[in-house]
Amino acid sequence: MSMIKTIIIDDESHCSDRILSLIERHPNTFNVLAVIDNVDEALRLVPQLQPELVFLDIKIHDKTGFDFLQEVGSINFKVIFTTAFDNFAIKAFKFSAIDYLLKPIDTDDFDAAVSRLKDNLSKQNMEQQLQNLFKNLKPNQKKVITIPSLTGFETLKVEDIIHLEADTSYTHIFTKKGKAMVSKPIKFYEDLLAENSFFKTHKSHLINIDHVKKYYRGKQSYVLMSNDGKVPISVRRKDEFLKHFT
Amino acid sequence: MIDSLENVIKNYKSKDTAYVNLRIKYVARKMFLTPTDTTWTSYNNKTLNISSQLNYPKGIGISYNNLGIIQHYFLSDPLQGLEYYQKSYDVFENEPKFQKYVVAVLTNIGLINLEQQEYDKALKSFKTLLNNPENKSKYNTLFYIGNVYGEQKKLDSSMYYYQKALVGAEQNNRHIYIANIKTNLGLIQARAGFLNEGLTTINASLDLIEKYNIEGLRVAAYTNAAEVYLQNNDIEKAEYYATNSLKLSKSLNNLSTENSALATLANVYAKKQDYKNALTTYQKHIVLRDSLINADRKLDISRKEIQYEADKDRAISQVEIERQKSIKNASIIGGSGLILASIFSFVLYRRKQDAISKSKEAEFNAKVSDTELKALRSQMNPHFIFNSLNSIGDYILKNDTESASDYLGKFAKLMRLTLENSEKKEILLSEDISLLRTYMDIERKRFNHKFDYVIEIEADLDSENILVPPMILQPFIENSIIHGLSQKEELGLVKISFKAEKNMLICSVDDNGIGRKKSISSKNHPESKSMGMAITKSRIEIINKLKNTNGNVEITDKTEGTRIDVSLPMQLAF
Repeated sequence: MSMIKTIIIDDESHCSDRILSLIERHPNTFNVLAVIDNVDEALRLVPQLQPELVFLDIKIHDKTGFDFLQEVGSINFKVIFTTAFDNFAIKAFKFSAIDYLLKPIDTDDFDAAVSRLKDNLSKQNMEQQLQNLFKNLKPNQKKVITIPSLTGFETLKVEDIIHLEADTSYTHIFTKKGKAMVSKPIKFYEDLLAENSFFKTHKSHLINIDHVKKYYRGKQSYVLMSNDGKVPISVRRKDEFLKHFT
Repeated sequence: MIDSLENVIKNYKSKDTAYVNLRIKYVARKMFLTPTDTTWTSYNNKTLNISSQLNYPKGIGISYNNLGIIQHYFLSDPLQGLEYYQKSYDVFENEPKFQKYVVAVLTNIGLINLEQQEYDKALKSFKTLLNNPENKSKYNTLFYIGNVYGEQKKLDSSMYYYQKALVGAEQNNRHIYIANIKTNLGLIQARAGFLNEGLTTINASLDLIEKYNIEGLRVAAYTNAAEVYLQNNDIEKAEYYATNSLKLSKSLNNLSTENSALATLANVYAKKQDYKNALTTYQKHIVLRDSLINADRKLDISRKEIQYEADKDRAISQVEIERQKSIKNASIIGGSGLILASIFSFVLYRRKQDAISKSKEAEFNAKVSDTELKALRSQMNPHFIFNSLNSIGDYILKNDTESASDYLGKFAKLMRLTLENSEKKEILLSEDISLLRTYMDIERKRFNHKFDYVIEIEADLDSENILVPPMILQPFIENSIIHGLSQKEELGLVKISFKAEKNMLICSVDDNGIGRKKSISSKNHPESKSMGMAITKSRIEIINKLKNTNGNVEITDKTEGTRIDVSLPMQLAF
């Protein structure tokens, strides 16, 4: 495999140095074309150099990495965001299935990102994911999640998700349009969707409260969802569940 | 004069409406002076009977109201009280000449609604009263509306109505009312963030209480003053008033004010960071509160009201028939009922402040324990943080930048996870295990791979479904590594295991280190070592108190190494 043409955009040199030293641990993998410390120069150089990968800081002087992406025009490279701490943006990354590294970057996390990158490099460009990211970054916008598919990525509106079911380390996502399977544990979506109208009714079931059609009481209570799927409610979760309806 | 009235009644021969009026007059004067007299129920029932035989609506309505008052205030049965009030309201509601009686009845209905946290219904009653032309003390109604909004945490509205009430009470020169309103207004002002105003108002009410010796208001004023001072961060004064309010309540044997005094005192202790006293005081408060609240009553009252609505039409027509036969007469009962209601109002208001609904209770409960757990954990973390920073500094000194930045990355990751989890009381065992792994990986790096670790989970334990307090084993693992294994010549091993035993989860840390005795005799300081242990023990104690379990920590000195068993109540997530 040819080396990945890489650009690092970060306004603090100790951060870009850290990425460079982490890159050194993967010989013959990266070809670093440039290290850039401001958005204007990045806007000038990136289209010229045509990188395949950009490590992108979120706060770059008085601008942001998002500004860069919105102005750079066509995006035919992968992006890995690097950030110290920004809960809100991290949530949006997770929703949009975009990779990010938290500073100071942990070696294992970096290695994991590299191996994910290698798997995804051949997949279609990131335009769709980034569009979803910008949607998710806007407050009060209807959220969308990006899930990996065989050929690239698929976008689901959060409000269209009816329920999710765990299947060992996979998760089935049932939506208005049908069903999708993702190789992520249900815990991932539980955390991701926690602030929306989702509720974990059972160890392996997460439901969208807005899609509950009927509730059946009994020894083993369950709900009927808008797609007529039956989802069990575990005894310990029943009271908590009923609170959503009183 | 009363005695002479009593004689007149005794000697009255015919049972007519004049006789009823005499009886009503007698009740109005005497019943409130001797609330403990148990014959009042039968007295009022007799008046009711005579009035019914005479088809005399005034007598019927007033007797029902009196019976309501007996149940509501003397016998503390608001449910029964409400039933009588509603019968009374039935009789009086739509008749203009009875509006003066409506004032008393509707005030009482509103007060029960307030007490039962049916705020919208209470507001409806009180606001109807504001438009009642016979309502001679609107400032009192305004005061109740202020109370309702206060309960609802609608502080601006509450202050608005209190201030309106205050104007009315001052115009009428009613000291008790002024003091009463100011007692509550001061509290609401402080809660709304007007700290200086709150302080001025509460002090004005305290002055009035001193000046006019208004004993009945003292306890409530002290409790409110304590909270206002607490909001002002004057912990000393807050504690003074809370303690005095508690003493006074105890001497008066008034459970409801004692209860609210305890709640305030618990807050004072929490603010003083005296968590131990905060917890014990809070627990006393909860026990007392539980005995005061009867959640079922609320439901019952709603049910009665639905039933009442259904029967209303029928009742109205009945009243109409009775009205035709009535004889016009006036009595002071309406007024005296109202006065009685107001005297009791502040007691109710305080009592209601205490009787917060169950969910709020749980919330506060969690808050106290959370504070405590957080406080304890914050003591635990610096320990580890500085050790880690020390190690990073060490790498830098040795010019091993690669290891330093590697270590820093891991350390940051652990800090992030710890911070996230510190907001939670419990996490899944699987999450806790991955946290422990990150922690041990860091320690392994720091001690140059001097030890290995294994984590064993009993086969039928589902780590995705078991909840544990985060990092409860961390201090013991730290002890094992630092005191047991770091001084050992050969490669050490820490074995961490989780298993179920009866209804408990046993979490163990087992090392093959040098053991506690050798460790203490060597250069290590035993104090730092026992701190982690003490903290974990208190964490488990809190869990025991909250969950009513008997988790504990057991230490076994083996021939080679030490073993710690922490037993926790088995908690499942689903």
